[in-house]
Amino acid sequence: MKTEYRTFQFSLLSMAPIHIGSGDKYTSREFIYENGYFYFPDMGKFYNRMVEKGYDQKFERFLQERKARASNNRLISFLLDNRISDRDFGGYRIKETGLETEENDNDSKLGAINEVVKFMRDPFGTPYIPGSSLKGAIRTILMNTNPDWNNKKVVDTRGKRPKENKNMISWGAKKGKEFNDLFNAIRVSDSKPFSNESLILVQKWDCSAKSLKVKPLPLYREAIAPLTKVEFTITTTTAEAASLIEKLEDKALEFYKGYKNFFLKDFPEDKIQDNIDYPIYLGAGSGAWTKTIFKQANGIIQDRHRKPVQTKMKGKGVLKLTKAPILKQDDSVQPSKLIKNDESFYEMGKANFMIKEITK
Amino acid sequence: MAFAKIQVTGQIRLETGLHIGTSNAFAAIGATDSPVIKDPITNLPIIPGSSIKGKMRTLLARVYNTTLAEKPGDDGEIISRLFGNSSDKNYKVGRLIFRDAFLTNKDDLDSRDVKSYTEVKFENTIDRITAEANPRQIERAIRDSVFGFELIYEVTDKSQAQVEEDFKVILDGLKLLELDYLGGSGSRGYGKVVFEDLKANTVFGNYDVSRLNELLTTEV
Repeated sequence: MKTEYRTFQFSLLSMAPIHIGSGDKYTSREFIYENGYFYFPDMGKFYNRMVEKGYDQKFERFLQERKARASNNRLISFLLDNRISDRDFGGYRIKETGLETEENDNDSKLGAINEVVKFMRDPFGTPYIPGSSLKGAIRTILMNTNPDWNNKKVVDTRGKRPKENKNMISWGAKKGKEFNDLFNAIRVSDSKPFSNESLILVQKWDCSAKSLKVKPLPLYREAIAPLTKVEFTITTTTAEAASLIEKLEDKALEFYKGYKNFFLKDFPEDKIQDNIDYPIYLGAGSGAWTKTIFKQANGIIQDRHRKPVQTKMKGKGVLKLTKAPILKQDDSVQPSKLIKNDESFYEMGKANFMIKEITK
Repeated sequence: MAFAKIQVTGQIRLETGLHIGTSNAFAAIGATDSPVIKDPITNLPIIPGSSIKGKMRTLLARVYNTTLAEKPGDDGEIISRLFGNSSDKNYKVGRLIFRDAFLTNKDDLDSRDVKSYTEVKFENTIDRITAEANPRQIERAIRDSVFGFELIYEVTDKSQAQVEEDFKVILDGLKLLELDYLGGSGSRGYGKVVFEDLKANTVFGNYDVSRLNELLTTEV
């Protein structure tokens, strides 16, 4: 086996809020909404302080009780009821965007949001994007555009329900055969950690293809604000892998074109964002068609959602949007607006990237 | 008769979380299904010498073997004399001794408010036909951990003339390790390590290490 290490710099620019989940969430009793900020205290520290102050039993009671009005079940109401003015419990703050709440919400106070899904963080509490997330997104692009893979039948029909044939692309060690694992030769680093100030809270909004109505859902995510830059390095160890990464920009355009024709065209133009560089969809809430080999998955995904009726997928499903403040582009990027509607709607998970080889 | 032991010390710093796995026989349902190897007494993560040695050997085998070795026994002379070769009577025991690396910056990590010296990373596989997620939890030794690295090189009559050549190979090995990864799941970002403060020191016998130290400081 010939080895040739080549390193590429992968620069990601978020075009819309991007959420990479850590698998955990904050309940409404774990954050404080105050003075235009969502404050997520270190709950261990918080509890220790309550013990010191002798409020531990009251706090435990607060956690168990469920008051009729949702706003009375929030951490802030506990602090106010007990006249606790301390706010130095560690943790971090996220500035509100003003777009977090649902329209026509009875609880008119902002910050009346319930659970918030956590963003991926390192052990020091700083958010980052794991290489595994980016690698999955790159793999989707490559699998959708490489004729060797997307034309072959990827569906494995053995078993109860159809699923992906995971052995189509050779991986892992096989006895008696030379090791041939293409995706082991593409190594995607974790991103550099970035600051909590790059994060905002965003809500999930669904746009239906039939009625073209957009409706909010009670799901909140910590997400990277639009126009955040994140850097990765990709190392390839074989010539085949390097050639795939070299072609990634074109492949991304090709994938986007297919995706647009297949799915995005059913939705109003003004909800779809233009690209500045090369498109990629990352993380949660970007929709099943950005995660699958969509031409072959079409039909099978709908089938999976046939029951129960509430989650039944009509047609190709809804376009997943979110609201974030309209930010003007920084100087390095044209044109001046990211989105084409004036309701602050973004396509969840949309990002652009550029890739270049690091010569050293 | 010349006999000396040269000790190479340094630090291994983790740039990204490191996963060197161990048995998961007793994992609870819903808990980490893929734990990392730890010191049984302190319960801190360790880097076993075998992991460093094995990874370095395969990386070096790609550079220093003239023909493709099908098994470690086929490795060329340069690799065999450093790492040992059970099927070569000249190099049954190699010249290198790798030590397990233990966590050394526990206090520093404590001061930065970490809750544990390992993190649990949630990941999932998405089926590209059904879009179904299949989650998993993997434990990693956390970023910015520092491990004490130690390597012993043995100088004998036979190896005396080859010390510098051998050290160039060792250095290449360390450099390759930095470009590659240590432990599992490296293709998705795990196990990026950096070797720091490398120093050679004669701990037994006489050998002038000033040339070696020059090598160590310039190249890594």
